[in-house]
Amino acid sequence: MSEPGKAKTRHEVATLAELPPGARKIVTIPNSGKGMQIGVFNVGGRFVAYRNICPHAGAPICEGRISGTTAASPVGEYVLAREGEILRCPWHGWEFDLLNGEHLVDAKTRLRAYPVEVSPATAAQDDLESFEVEINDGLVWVLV
Amino acid sequence: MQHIKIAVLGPGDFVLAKINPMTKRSLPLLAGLMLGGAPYIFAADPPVLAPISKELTALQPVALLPDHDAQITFTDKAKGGTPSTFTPLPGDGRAFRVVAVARGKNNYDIEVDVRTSAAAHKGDVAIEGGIAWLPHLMWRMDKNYKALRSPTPWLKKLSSEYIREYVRLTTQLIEEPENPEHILQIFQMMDAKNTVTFSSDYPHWDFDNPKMALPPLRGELKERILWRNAAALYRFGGSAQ
Repeated sequence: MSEPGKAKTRHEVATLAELPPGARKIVTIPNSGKGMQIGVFNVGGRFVAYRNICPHAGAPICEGRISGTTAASPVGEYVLAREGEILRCPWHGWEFDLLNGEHLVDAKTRLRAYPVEVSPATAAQDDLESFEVEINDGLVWVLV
Repeated sequence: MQHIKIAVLGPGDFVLAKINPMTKRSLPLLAGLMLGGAPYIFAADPPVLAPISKELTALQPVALLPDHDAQITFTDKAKGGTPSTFTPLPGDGRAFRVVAVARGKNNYDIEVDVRTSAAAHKGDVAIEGGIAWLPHLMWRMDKNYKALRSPTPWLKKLSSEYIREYVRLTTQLIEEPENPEHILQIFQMMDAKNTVTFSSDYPHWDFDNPKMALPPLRGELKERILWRNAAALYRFGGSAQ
């Protein structure tokens, strides 16, 4: 686990083929003491990674249902929106915005996020580049 | 017999209730119900309710007196589980949506009407029920809202924030802890500077003497509880805000 000022370590967590849009993968970071788990998500082409611990009560949040939710609406009306962008905690149903990790009610409550990088499978590690949809045989890395 | 306003049913829709202030027995009952996660409040005693026109009533605060025999329905379908108690639904079916329905002391509820409150209504005041039960209710409602936001997406803030803005309690049946400082702490928890007004419960024999009933208060908190909050609520002369 990284500490402030400490250089992050890159961990290979998946191939691009394993993480098409809408998919997730939960990985255990090697040599992370108690076996730190991180969930990596492909949210409509954007990769995000969060610690698999809900800030509310410690649930394995990354195992929660990925869905949309009800958008702000007039009283009594329901408007479904943001399909695939909401992560719902399996224990208490708290909703988190997958794109930024924030709880939908209280934005101060947020998932612990980690940077994600994607590289072509054959590239050297110092050739890491930001994700492009055209890359089909790449690797997904999380920086911890 | 006298008339008092007891509820706001919808935009521009008011009711009157005839009550006997000495017995309280003819008070209309209010019943809350959660339907598919959306809270509703019903007037449970339609015969004493009569709609009156918007023109007749300047928007006034509403006093809600708990009926100690009232049974409150609270079915939270969004979260699942067995409904708690039930009250027969009224025949006329008039209802208005509320921010939150939650059981308070003595089986009565706090209700806030989002639409009418936001429009022009400064809120309701619950009287003769004490106050110390409110802080933990605010915490509980916030906790539940954090897990149950999606069934009520029209809400814009925490339940406790709606309570601070729209709900007022009066002091009679003031709790009397052994250490008077403790009630001051409760005042702080519930933002009493904005939410609490003094009430005497006159003409009951055990009414509160304004000079004796409350713990020692100072400064702005004293002014607000003893008169400014009530003056603002009922729009008496002079601004209290």
